[in-house]
Amino acid sequence: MTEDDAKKIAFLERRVEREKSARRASEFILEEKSHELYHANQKLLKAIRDLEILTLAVEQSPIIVLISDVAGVLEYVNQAFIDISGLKKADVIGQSIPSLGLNIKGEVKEGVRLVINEKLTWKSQITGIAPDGFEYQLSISISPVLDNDNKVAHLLYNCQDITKQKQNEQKIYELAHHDSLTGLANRYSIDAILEQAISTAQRNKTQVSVLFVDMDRFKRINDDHGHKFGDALLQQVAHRLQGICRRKSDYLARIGGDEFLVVLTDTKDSTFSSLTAESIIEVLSLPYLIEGQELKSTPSIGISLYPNDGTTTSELISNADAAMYHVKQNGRRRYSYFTKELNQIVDEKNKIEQELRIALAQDNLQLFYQPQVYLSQERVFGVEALLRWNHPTMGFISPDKFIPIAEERGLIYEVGSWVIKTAFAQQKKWKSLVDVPVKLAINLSAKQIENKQFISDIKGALLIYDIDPSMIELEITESIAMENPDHSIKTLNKLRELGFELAIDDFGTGYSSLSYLKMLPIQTLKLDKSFIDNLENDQDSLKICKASISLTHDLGLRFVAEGVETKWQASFLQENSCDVLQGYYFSRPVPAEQAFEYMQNFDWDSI
Amino acid sequence: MKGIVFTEFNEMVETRFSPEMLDEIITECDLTSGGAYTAVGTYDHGELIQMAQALSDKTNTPVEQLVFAFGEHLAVRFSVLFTSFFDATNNTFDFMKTLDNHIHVEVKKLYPDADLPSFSFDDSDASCLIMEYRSSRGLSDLAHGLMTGVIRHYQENITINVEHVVGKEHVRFHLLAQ
Repeated sequence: MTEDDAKKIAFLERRVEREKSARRASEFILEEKSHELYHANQKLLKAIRDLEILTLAVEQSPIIVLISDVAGVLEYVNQAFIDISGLKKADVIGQSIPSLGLNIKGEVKEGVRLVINEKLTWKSQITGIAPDGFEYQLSISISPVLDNDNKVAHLLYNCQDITKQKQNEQKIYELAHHDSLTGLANRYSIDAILEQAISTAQRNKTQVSVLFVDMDRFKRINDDHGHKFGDALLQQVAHRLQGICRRKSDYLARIGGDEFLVVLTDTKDSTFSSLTAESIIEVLSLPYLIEGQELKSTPSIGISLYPNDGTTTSELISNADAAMYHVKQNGRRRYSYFTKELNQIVDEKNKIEQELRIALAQDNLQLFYQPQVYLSQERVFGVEALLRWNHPTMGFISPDKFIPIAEERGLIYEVGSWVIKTAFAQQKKWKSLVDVPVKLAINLSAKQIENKQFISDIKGALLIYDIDPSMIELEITESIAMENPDHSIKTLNKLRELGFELAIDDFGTGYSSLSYLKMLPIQTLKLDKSFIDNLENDQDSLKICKASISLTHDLGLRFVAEGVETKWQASFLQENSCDVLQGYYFSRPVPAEQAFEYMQNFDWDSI
Repeated sequence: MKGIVFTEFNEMVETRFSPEMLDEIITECDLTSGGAYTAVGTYDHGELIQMAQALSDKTNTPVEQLVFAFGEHLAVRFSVLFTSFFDATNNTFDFMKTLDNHIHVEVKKLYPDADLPSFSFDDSDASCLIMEYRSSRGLSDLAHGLMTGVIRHYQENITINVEHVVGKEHVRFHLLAQ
């Protein structure tokens, strides 16, 4: 081998070696690149899968999603939008958003401008109209979609269907501000209206009239014909009131069962309110035709005026109420303005109510007892418990005065319960002192009879004081019994089942139906005092008295004469088979100790 | 520097001179890579300078001239390997203008580690395109040769005046259409 050959071989070997190295290097690099590519591919596949999930999620999301370019041309909408808009996907892409029935005007346009310029998210509510005319409401949030250079590339609209929510809100608003039966404003909103009217009147130096309208004897109508009937009547009353008060500045509300409020604003003097009140009386007194039946009811109206009779809503309403109450007590079917005298009456009532609450809390009321002489051979006594209130500074306050106030202000049930407990406690005390128990008569009020709690309350009291109910005679007046005879019969039956004796008080003064009387589970009739008063001078009273005794006995009942003041009356009644005598001739109502003493020392031979 | 530059340089040396010449300069330069280049690899650009210097010494030809010639060779090779870039335009000026913001952008996508020179241009004068070359590698002669190769590719009559702003690192080429 020549030197040249050796060089050539060495050269070729080097070259082959370089080629080999290069090949190995490239293989290694390609292997690495292939791995990189594989991993990149895997990443890409995962990204595609994620994207698919994301696309499906957005597509099926209950939230409405729209994507547009910055000019508002739609690039994507999901199924939720198709569902609510009633449009087809193919018809939507490439269209401008306002052309889809979405109301993108004024405020919304300004919002879109903010999103693009300030890169903010903007929220509001918009309406949309489907091709079939269906109007829907959307809550909308518009936000920018930024590209890699942080520029706004798209707009993303997330919307939620709030059509139902809006409808519910409207319904709730209506319910909160309107009376559902009549559609008139309710107490809550008339307060707001009146408050606004007062401040306007204050500025404009005008007057506001508040008319408190109450339908006379509505309760009776409701009881006799049922609630449905009563409701229909109230609806007609509301309708008639709307017909009368037609000015834009007149407002109507139903604020209680049968209580309506008319607020007349922008009036200069009381002429307009008087005329309105007259019209209301005339129109509401016309017969009502309900379910084919003709029915009559009349309104009583009390009026208070701003600023004379009050400067606040509660003052004006309560004074109009007081004026209405005054009308009720003085003949109904009239209207009356609130007056200074009424003001005094209201003040006095407020005072009595306040003091009565204190008296109840501090146990400052008192029971007096008037003995009842039983003319049977057993020589037993009864007593009638009578409520008395001797106020530390106001002196003796007659029940005739404070009982109606207690009724008006919702205190009568509490007063009645106090009477029952106190009388029961007293009877228990007497029982421990003598062998022969004292029969106790207690007066009940209408509110007690009506109260659903009454039966269980009195049953509880029986247990607490360990009372024999047959020694308790519960008295209700004839008018209370007749006010709602069906209900009275039910309650009286329950009391009778408990073992109480029952009496009808003031018999002869009301309009007792004898057939009803027969149905009442009573044991005693108490003839009204007025008949006894006139026994000596009035032949009619004498005849009525005799007939009543006879009727009572025929019905198998006991006859009690109250208000016996003379020996003659006592003798007459005794001769005519009266069973029980009660009155000043024997004893006035006296404190428990005196009553007891009287009974202990009574000379039975004197009668 | 991308391996293709080295494989093409070697190719040129073998073609223009001889395979033995290439073997000699590689052996003499005692290169870190051993001269076993592959187009898909990446190598220190200093090796190219080393080889160019050795070739210059062996052939008594200035390095500048060799690097310029390599540029011309590369232009031809690129026009074959990457036809689409050349087919996108039909003249030198338009091609040059796409260099920095298109061709180099695409190169970067394929080879994120590629360290490319920057080319800005001024075409305010329609008949004279000013290309401004900036690179820490100072391979303005290579750029010059490439441009010349491109002009030849489009078969245009354009002369290039070279203005050295900062040595070979920052050079302004004035391409004058005749």
